Amino acid sequence: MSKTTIIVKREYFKVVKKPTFWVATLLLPLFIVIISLVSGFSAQQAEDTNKRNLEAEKGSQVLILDESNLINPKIFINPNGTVSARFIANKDEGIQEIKDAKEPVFVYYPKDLVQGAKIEIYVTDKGLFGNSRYDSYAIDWINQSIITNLPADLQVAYKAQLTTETRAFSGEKEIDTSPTKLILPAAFALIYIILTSFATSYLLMSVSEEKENRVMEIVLSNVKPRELITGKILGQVGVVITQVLILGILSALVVFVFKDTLTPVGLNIGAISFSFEQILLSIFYTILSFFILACVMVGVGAAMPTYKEAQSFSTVFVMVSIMPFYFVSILIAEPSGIIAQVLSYFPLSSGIVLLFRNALGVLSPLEIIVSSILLVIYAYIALYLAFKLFEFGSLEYGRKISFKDFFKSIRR
Amino acid sequence: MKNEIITIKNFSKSFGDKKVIDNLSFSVYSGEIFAFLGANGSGKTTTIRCLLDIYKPDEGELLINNQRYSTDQSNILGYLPEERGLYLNSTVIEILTYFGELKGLSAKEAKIQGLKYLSRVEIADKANVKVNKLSSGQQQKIQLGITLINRPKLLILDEPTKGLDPVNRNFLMEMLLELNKEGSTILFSTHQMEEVEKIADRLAMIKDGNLKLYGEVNEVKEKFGNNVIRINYKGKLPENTELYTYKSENYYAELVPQEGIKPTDIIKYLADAGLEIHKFEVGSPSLNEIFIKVSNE
Repeated sequence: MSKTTIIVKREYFKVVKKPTFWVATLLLPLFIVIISLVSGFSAQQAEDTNKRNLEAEKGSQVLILDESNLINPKIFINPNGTVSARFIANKDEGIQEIKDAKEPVFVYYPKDLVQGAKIEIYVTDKGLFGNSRYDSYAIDWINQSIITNLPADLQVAYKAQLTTETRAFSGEKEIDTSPTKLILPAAFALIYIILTSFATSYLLMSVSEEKENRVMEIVLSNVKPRELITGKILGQVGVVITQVLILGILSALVVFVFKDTLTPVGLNIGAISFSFEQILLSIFYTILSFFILACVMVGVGAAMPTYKEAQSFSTVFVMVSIMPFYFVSILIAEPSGIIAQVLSYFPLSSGIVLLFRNALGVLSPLEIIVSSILLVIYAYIALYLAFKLFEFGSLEYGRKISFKDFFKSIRR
Repeated sequence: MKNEIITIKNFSKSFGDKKVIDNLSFSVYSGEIFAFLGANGSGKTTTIRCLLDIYKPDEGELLINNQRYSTDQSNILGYLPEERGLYLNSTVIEILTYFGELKGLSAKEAKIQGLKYLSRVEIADKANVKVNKLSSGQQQKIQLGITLINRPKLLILDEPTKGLDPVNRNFLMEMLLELNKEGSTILFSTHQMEEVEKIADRLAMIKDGNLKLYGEVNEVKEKFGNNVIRINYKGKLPENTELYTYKSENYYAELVPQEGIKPTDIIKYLADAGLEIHKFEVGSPSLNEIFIKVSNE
């Protein structure tokens, strides 16, 4: 077994064997599932209560005072000839009947309804959610009344299920506008978040631990810095792959079990398709941007005397790397705008921005080439500085390195 | 002809504007115990780190088995640095196995050797205990275990007895002698001259990055003369800088004759001066005296 593999194995199991890893990995999706189930259950309960209330009030009549003259009484005539509404002429009378619980609902349509006056609904109390049980009906009766006044052919047209289809062009190139295209950047964004929040944090901890506990020198007498750093980074990548797999399996299970209820409106899962080039480029951008941040973490870990100090110093870099998420709506709305362009070429933010822009299909071949070359250059510089910082600072136990001395040593 | 396992030739190293090592050369022969001496800041640790390629030398050659050390040779090396620690959140056997593997043992063999070592140092029951639960003495045994797990042919120990209690210090000395008997070459740095006198075959002493003493322990001592007079006495020791210089404490004194003065002349002088001498002997200066003298020059 190569030394790098031995280090990868140690780094991987050191994290995966910790209960905190499983808590962090399972807790987030579990939390989301629990929240979804609870909110779904609450909504269902409210709907059931409303249905039960309406069912119980089925035999009673709706009191209506229509000063707007928009309501057509015919809509309240049931197929069996009975009438489910009673029109009254006095508002106070209607309110009193509700107070006396003679009828469950009184709807008052004011005269200037079209000018913005509100439909007033008076109901017998059925709880916070139950009290709004007639809100949608009151509006619906207006709509139904208007339709009944239309000619038959217009009534058909009104009731028809109308749909839209949008096609967008950037020059000659047609742009895909379906929401499914956001799945790819969303998936890679999730992986990127896990990489930046978990892997880089574990990596920082791992380098700092060896420096803080003064094990570094023994380690370096047995392995080359290159093997050590590579082993640590790959070990953390392994951890992230495990996390992504766990999340993937859990998500697949959730989608499989609740496929009929969880699919977002308008999202046709079967229609999701990505080109091989898009996926390849997304992987490239994710790996490179993680690699740059990982190098930064190695450098910070080697430069700072303790994990605590390294952690607070590293926050700046993590913040910059996740900065594009603050602009996500701008990135989606204007993927070729000035903010997107600037962030595409800034070292720590470029990976994730390019990932978005690539998935949205707005990157020109020239931009892909330039951005990829720049990312590779950034990665090389980050690796070079990480090695130099490691060489310079990893044995400086108990003290912060002087960046002035560090840059002097680089110049030499 | 003796086989050189460590060769250092014309080695120099600076940090910034400060020259830490200046044209240092010495060799360590296969199978010997070699003491590498010097006061704090004299450049011992820098030399060892450059020898092990942890630091890069500015000039010169630092060779192990006639080649620049690379971690590919870690299977023959046991290195105990001066600044040493452990992974506090790992168990004892995890650490021993990990370093055993890095030194070329299989995971299984490393675990077996680790458990054997723990039995040898009487802490076998701590194998699955996390390091942060161990006493500092036990942690030092684990650090030594990491160094010895591969039964190395070459041991480099930078102040190995630093922080050890007398029991563990004695235990370490015995272990080093045992390993040396089995054929291991040992280079160690220390400030404890009695350890050097006890186990070392040869020594090198550096001061401000320059070699000051080098050779067999007895040779070095002889170079400093064979006529130090040690006396136990009663009364007031007379001063006579024309005859001798001296250091005295609790009615024990070590007198170094001036050039051309014989020890017998001094004894006669002291007796004539009325000093009551209970015991005297003439011999070489101790390494401790030599160390202090060279350091103060």
